[in-house]
Amino acid sequence: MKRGSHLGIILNNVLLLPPQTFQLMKLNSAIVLASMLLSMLCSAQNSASEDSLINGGKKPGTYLGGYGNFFYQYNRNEKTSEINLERVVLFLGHHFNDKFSFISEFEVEDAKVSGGENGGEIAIEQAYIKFNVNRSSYFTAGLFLPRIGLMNENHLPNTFNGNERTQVETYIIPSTWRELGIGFYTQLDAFPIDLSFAVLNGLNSSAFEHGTVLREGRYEGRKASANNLAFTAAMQYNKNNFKFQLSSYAGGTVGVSKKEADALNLDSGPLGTPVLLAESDAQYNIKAFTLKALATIVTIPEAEKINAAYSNNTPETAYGIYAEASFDFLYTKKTERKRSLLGFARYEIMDLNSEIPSNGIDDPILNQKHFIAGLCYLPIPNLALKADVRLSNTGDQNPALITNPDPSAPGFKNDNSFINLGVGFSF
Amino acid sequence: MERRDFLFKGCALCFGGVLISSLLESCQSMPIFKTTSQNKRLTIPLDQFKENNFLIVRPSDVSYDIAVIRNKEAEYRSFVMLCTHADNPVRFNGKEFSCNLHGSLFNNNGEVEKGPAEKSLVSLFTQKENNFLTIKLI
Repeated sequence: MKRGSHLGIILNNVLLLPPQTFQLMKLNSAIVLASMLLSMLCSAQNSASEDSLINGGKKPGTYLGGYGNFFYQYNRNEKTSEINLERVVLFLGHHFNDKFSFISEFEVEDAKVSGGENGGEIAIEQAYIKFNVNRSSYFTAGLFLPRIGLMNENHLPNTFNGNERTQVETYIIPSTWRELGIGFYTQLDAFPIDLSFAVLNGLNSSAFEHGTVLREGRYEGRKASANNLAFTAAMQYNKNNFKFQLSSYAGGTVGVSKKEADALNLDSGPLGTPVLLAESDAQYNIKAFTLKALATIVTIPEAEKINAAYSNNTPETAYGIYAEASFDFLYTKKTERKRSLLGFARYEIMDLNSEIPSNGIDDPILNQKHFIAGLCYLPIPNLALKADVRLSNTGDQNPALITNPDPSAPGFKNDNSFINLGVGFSF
Repeated sequence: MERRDFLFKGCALCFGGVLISSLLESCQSMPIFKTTSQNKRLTIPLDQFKENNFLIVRPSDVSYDIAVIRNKEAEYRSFVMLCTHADNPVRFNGKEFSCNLHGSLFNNNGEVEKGPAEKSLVSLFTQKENNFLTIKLI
């Protein structure tokens, strides 16, 4: 572009500019934005470094972090393979002072979101204000992940074994499950116990989908109905080698007006037509060995009414259990222990429609077992190279659910296996 | 008994047994020492370590707790109990420090065991003099 071509003229006190100037302005704006981001990156400090502490408190400051993972998967039955940048998440936080801070996570799934194409997601995973009441208690307000299960709160790929998140904590507990609300977290002084409570927006039962229990009913901060509410509570015990947690969720699923709910024969109100979830998990670590186990159950007592209103084959009960053992082959007694090579095996059982209402249709495929075994090499604690195999087994197909059978479709197989190779990182 | 019932009941029994035994063990409260700094120094009597090899120091004029750990060589080390990733308070369980915000873990030397944290916990100068420990604040 020639510099002279961007000169404008003043006509009736209005500055007229040629179109090329706007292109240049866009380019300049992009450069300015990039510079601002770069300067922010440069000025972002690592938290709780000696430099960030002053006079017994913390300096105001901004920090950046993130995590992500990509992996290759081979599907034995389909004889297909896929490689995907599953997610990249950026953390951005700011400390206003010792009392207030802002915490956020911005996520892109499947690398790209393109109009009209399936897959891909851009989402704010968390965005909340944290208010420290004292050193052991704080409130959160905004979009956050309540403490339910092991992975909902801590789901960074270098903190769990296997390329895929556990099936139970994907389908029964729909991690990462965030909603808008207020939370309270406290550590007891007298005992090694952490407690958390939250009041959140509820679920949307009209969006429930067959085979996903409550997953599709989450609002995740997007124009959530505030007519119905949810309550969560968690108790976490953590001493020496043992960690144990109990958590629960109770939330209404009808966010429509009372008039509409009455017309649909659904109970409205804060806890109307509820979803109830209970979860328990435990972790035990001794030297190189770690054992983990989790059990969870979801009940939807008025699933029959939801089915009558929305025909989405909502189950009455779904449950999931898994147990995992891992061993660090590079474990030493040395105090400086940077590298790990974890061998692990996990067994998961879940049934996404273990009980169905009288107007539901049983789908035995949702009764599943998964065995996952593999290796996870961490050259540094923030980087994980993963290789694993998942053997899955499901119940039979229910012909009543096949509304438009494909004559050329291959025969149904109850067993399948997947080979996964991938990389996860966090910082 | 069906296999599903057996699995449920078996898991429940295991969880319950381990939980009860651990809770009984934890009836001993966490050792917390409340104090105030003087000239940016904390003074702690060594008799606070009679029953435990660690102590959570809670200065009233500082916004964070400090964990003091005595190792097998009877050396004392002090760590600021803030995660080096996002400043969230960490919990010390007697063996390691954990941060609930993003899942970072630190060993009892303050070193990172699990990210996203990359830096060790901030260590404070700690000196043993007679029957007292002196911790120098930043």
